[in-house]
Amino acid sequence: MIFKIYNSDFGFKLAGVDYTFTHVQNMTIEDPETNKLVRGGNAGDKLGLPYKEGTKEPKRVTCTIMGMSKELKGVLDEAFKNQTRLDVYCIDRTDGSSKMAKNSVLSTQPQQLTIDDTAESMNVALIFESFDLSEVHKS
Amino acid sequence: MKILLDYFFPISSIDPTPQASTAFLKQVCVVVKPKAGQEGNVGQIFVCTNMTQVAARTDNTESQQLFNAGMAKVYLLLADDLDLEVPMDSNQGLFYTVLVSSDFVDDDIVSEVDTPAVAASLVKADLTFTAKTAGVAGNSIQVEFLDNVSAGEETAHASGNLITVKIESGVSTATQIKAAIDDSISVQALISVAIAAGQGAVAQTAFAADNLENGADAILGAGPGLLVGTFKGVVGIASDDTGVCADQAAIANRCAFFKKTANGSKNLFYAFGKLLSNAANWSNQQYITMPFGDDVDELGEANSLFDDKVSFVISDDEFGQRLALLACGGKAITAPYIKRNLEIDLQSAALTYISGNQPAYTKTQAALIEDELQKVMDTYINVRKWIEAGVVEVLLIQDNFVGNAEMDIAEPKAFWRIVGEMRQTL
Repeated sequence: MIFKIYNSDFGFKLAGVDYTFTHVQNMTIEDPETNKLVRGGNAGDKLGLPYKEGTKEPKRVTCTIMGMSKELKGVLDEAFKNQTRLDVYCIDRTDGSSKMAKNSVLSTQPQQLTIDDTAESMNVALIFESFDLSEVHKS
Repeated sequence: MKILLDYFFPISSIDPTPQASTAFLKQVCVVVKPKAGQEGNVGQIFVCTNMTQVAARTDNTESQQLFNAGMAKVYLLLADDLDLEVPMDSNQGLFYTVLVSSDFVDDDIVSEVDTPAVAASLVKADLTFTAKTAGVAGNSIQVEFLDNVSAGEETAHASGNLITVKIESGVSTATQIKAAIDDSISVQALISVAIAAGQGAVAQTAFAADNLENGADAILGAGPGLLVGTFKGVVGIASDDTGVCADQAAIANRCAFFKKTANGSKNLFYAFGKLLSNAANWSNQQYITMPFGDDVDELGEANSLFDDKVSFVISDDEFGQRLALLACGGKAITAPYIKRNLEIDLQSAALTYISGNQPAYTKTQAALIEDELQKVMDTYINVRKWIEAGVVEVLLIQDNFVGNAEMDIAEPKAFWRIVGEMRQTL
């Protein structure tokens, strides 16, 4: 199952209340956790020893929205200030498959960083960090 | 009237429903017999916060153990028997545990106690006549020996309950008479006959119609047994009969506690008091100190009770009286409470989300509700550590209004014993 942006709903839940993003440019996810292999310098076997890297680093979800209403700005500003936990989601509305960053915090102050005459200037990058990323496929 | 504000700026607010209370899961109802003067209150439930209030209703003092264990209040149900369907059905949601006091004995708890029926019988000289069907009806069967045939030509016939055997009095032997009776289908339907050992050749004499006697019907238990109607919670009973305990312990949501008669249900009450008085957690009460010993001081007996999943107290010279098992329907004592707690929290979370967000019937909203429910599960797994695993899935199978949720959880379990093997290899 592949998520297509034109089939997806985006938003976040805070204290049990659902907030949706009306216009979403894209959502990107950075996951630093990797499985690695190592073996001794004597090359004792061809299996090696598995270990994980990046487990101390959070996953980063960047959701680039276009425009930001006053209500949304108010909620996100408070969430950033108070480090309130929220769940960010992308849900495929055709079958309910979802990608969620649960118990995440807003990493940066939500704000418009560029003001000019391009469409891109309406972008606001919301960056969330979480250790609880889930992806559920319903088909 | 102040109407300008509402005229200028009417606001309709959407309030999500509050979280449902699970406090009733920590409450207990004790079933006792009424004291003199309280007979009119049978079937009623009273809230008691101290033993003075309990003493006003019943002479049973076992509730003291619940208060000793830390309970702040108990519900007291006055009853003459253990047919509790009506009071249980009309008091749902007040408590989740019912404990039966020692005012009630095994015969009250067990559905049926059979004293088998006894067959009526009649002994005449060397012959014993026994009714084929046990019961008082056999007492109306009559047997007569008529002296009106020659020996060797004996016959037997039943007309209604009257059995007539024709013999030659003083000549016909017991064996000859038995043969005639055995040949008669009508008589065989009513009785069987036996000859006293070694007396087959002895001549028998005629006698007038005489009734079989001492037939008795089966006797069932005095009451209907323990009935709780639609009550879905935990029921605790105590008995000094290991067989009764074993049978009761196998019933779902039933805790059977082995007791010494002199202690009544005190240990049962104390154990549940400790379980329910912990406001923050559900814990299995492994090896807590108990107030009374129930004379389980031999390993064989303890193992036997454990194998039957009967709850009991073990007596040890060093460690004193310790709760050696507290179980319910063959499962951990906390299992029914945790499951019910989880059910309520899941229901509450879904209701709060729907009432607060007024969602449309979409797959997106189904996924969001599913996430809310999974959060509840995850709290039980990762924070409270009450269950090992749990998964929720919300599906939209119907057209409108109603979603379907499927939930799988791991059964809560309890660690009571370790069986080890030591090998001398070093």
